[in-house]
Amino acid sequence: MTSSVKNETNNNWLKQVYNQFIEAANKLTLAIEDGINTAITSKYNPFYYHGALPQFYLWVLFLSGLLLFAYYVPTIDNAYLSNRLINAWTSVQYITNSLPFGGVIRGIHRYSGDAMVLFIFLHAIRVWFTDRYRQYRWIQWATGVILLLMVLFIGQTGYYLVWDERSLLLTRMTVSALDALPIIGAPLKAWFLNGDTITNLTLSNFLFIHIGLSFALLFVLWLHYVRMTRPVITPPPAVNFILVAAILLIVFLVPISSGNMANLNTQPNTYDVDWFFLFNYWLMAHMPMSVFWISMTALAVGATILPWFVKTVSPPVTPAEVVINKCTGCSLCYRDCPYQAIEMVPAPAGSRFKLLATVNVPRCSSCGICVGACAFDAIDLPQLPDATVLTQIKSLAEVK
Amino acid sequence: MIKGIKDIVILILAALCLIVSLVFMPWSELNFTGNFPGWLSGVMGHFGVNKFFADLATHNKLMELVTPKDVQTNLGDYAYSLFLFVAMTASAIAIVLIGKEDDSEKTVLEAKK
Ligand code: HEM
Ligand code: SF4
Ligand code: SF4
Repeated sequence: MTSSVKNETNNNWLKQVYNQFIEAANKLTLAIEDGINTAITSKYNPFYYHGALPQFYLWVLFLSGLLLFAYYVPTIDNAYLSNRLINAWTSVQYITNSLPFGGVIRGIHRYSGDAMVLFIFLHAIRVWFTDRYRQYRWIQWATGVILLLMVLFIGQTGYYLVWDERSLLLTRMTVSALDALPIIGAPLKAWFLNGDTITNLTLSNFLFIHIGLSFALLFVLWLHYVRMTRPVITPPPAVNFILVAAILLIVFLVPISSGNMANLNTQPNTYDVDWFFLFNYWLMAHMPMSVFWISMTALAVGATILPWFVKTVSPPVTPAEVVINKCTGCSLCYRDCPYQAIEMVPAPAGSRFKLLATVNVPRCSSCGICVGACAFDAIDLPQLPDATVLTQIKSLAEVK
Repeated sequence: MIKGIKDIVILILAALCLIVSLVFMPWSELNFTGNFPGWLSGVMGHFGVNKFFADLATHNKLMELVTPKDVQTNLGDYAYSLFLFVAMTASAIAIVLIGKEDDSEKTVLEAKK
């Protein structure tokens, strides 16, 4: 950190406290990572796959979900088969009790969801504490918040689908929460229930949201990755094994079961809270609805704008610059830049070459990788010219 | 071939993985009965494993251990997930031990040429 930046921050005690907190958190994170590195080497350190961990569980969820989907019946009742009732709850019972390994698959789906939320939080905390979420990384952060909200909602719809007493209670709580919203409340409620009241159509809607949003997640993940040239999205096999094994152990230790079948004529009043997905229902039950909505919205908006709100932990970056008459348009820098900050454009008229490298300033992290990539000395960091770096290296080598 | 303790540990883990996945997983899948497929009974007969399982099934020690509170379905299915956990963990540790070697920095020269 340069001294000029320190001086700026000194003006504001809040910023100072915040910066000290982040610096301490950063040190702690790095110390834990170092410890793990010594134990199992950096190759298997889960901290280095913090983004890949939720991504891995997403694939597990898709696969196990596909198996559940094959047997799930999204209805609350079935008038035509009323003596042999087939509905969402009985289909889930069938999956759990009669299908070979159905209960295990259901357990894998449930606990992988929980694990995904857990690792998303760790991932978000990691990038926050190591200060890797601002400036040229804002798009990853902002899409990350959207991803988190989507994942939470997908998980909640998963809990509605079981159609036990908890599902009914959660559905009713959601309806009253939506009802409390001005203007948009009524249409949202109608969309949510797929009508005025809970019917078979409601459960088809829940299934549609659950699966549709899961696929929409892939699109938002694309936005999350689009500015990173080589995002690490798969952990090494040994880590994958452990990730699956951990889920299997939990499935064995805590087998899941449904509550009683939902009955529209009764109002259940207690339920088990899954703290990964259903904490907002717990909050909803413990505060006035207006306070709930205002605080949730503030939290989401606050999290999204965090990268712009915090500005002064590390010095501002100065983007790389291309020397037009030296650049041959070879694209090496373009391929190496980790943030897709370099664009190859047609060379100006009269040039011997076809392409010219240009730097997209807001995306550049000033990392200097392109400087090393260029064989023609055609790209430089203005504050750190090649020649200076070379003399520094030489003098260091001589001292040794 | 076997150069040290590490290699022995790797072999033990590999054996554990094989035994668990070839013996314990089918056993739990068949819900702890001794009705293994013929080839497996044949293999196990050689090691006196059949008797071991017959004892287990009558004394129910393992069954008690693996009886979680509210299992609704086949207990064996859940035990299967436990054994799969053991097999995957063993193989993961083995892979980590083998993989450790690649981790050393290869671009650094020992001495100046
Ligand atoms: C579905 C959930 C998510 C998945 C699967 C996911 C996955 C990933 C992956 C694979 C990377 C690349 C990591 C690397 O190559 O080092 C990444 C980067 C990043 N993610 Fe996420 N992420 C998710 C949610 C979030 C959330 C909730 C946030 C924060 C609110 C977030 C913030 C970031 C940031 C700032 C980066 C850039 C980090 C860097 O450049 O070092 N992500 N994410
Ligand atoms: S310094 Fe070069 S490689 Fe690094 S982000 Fe900027 S343009 Fe890309
Ligand atoms: S590596 Fe150098 S010469 Fe090649 S495109 Fe980039 S700036 Fe131009």
